[in-house]
Amino acid sequence: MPTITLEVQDRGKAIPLLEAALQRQAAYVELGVAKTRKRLQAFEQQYGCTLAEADTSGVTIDPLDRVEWEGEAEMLQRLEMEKAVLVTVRICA
Amino acid sequence: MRIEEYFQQIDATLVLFPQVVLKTMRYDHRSETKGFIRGVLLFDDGSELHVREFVDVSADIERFKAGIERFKYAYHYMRSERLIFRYDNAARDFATYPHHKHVGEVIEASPALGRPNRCFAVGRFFGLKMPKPSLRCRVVPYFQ
Repeated sequence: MPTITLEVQDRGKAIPLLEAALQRQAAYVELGVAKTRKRLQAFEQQYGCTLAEADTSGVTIDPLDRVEWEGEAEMLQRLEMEKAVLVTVRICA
Repeated sequence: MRIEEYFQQIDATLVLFPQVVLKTMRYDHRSETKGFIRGVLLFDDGSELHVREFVDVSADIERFKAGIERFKYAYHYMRSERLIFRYDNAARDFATYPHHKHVGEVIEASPALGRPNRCFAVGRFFGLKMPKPSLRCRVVPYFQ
């Protein structure tokens, strides 16, 4: 794993602060993940299928809905990647 | 940059356009760096611009100016319930995929909507093709 170095004034105080900050950020991203999943589910309920199914079965999707639906799907991937980065940070004291 | 700053910049920039008589913008935070914008701008001639933007401000700064990537977007301009044009990057098969433009029923290839060095929505949008000269806006140093 790549390593980055931080310069701090007080190692003993900085480490728990950094750990808490990482946990808080991960929790915040998790909220975003949940919100994004909910919006994806709403589209699936509205159209009665997944986006992939809609494309193969020729379901007509409102153009702005399509952009939102595709955007939510990509948003979910990006948020999950962001969360994975945050939760795998290891502080080496 | 944080997504909140990007949202604030958009709001601050839209204020500069007197042609926009009403705006309904919803800014949706998904993380510190990612968010979604959904809104409608109503112009003084009765036309409307419907905006959808999924934004990531932690993008590769080498590829995206200021690290801001609008990874999914639609700018849908209409008047009297009729589509005048729409730029979006929904998945379709185009030479400029995924970027393209709808003019009425016709779909045209379109280069990627630009680097956000012009004003939000009105400027960068109408700067490409002006449906009405009076809507031409000043170029505002948006991200400077």
